[in-house]
Amino acid sequence: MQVVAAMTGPSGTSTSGWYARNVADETAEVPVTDPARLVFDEQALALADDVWRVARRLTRDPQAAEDLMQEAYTRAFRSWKQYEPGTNLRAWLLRIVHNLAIDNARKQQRQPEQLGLEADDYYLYDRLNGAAAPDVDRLIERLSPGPVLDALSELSLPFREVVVLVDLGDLSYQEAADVLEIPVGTVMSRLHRGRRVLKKALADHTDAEAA
Amino acid sequence: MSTRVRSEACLHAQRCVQEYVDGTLVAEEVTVVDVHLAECPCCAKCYGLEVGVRTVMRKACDEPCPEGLRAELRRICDDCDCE
Repeated sequence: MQVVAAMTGPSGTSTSGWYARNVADETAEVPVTDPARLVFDEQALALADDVWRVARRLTRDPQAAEDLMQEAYTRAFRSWKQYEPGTNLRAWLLRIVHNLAIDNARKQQRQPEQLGLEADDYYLYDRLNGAAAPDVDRLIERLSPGPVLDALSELSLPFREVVVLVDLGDLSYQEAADVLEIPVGTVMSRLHRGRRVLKKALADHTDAEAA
Repeated sequence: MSTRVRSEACLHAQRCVQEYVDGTLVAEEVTVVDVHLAECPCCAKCYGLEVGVRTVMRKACDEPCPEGLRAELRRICDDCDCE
């Protein structure tokens, strides 16, 4: 990551932190790091928890998620100059994660399968409209997350990544559309369908709990 | 399951629930949905489920980056040459 720069100014004139940290011999040509790069590094590393949350759910196991994170951060550090300061760094990092996840899926020749749920949009409405409809608020309090996570894991990538980017990555519809390079309407549609699968899992679980 | 008659207000609320929960619905529509949810227990439950699924998922996925991985990212950062 180090950028070599000749320090030709009067020796001992700079007292800035980055300079002091990188200068061992004030009179020699020494490796120094672009201060903008240091800022980028710290900001990118500080977002590791946020990026991890998304990478973990874009992949199906923790090791694959760690590999994806390492690949993504390697690419990010190498191409940091392409990041425009002041814009959403998290969205920039998540775009890299998304691109790598797509590449990996292609390598594994995994075709994006269709969602198996084409039932009417009002499926849950009908379920909950019954006399035995559960008190959802109360059930949520004692719900285990297993069914929702299982359902999320089973979603095909195009749907899973929209849900993950918006619900776990905190991106807006527009930011998710930019990352995925798809129209906002497609983001909304995939989000709707992806969440519907998760809601069905949750509703099925509440039924099982109530039984 | 018997076929149930849904009101226009229910249909509207169902179509809007996602944007309503995400906070992207225009203000006038929010008011319409608010009024409907207050008077329709079924749609209110659907809304609860919409919020609930996000709450459950968010809580379940709120795990920090593993410390070993964080250290590895720092090492990658220190070793990386920029393009």
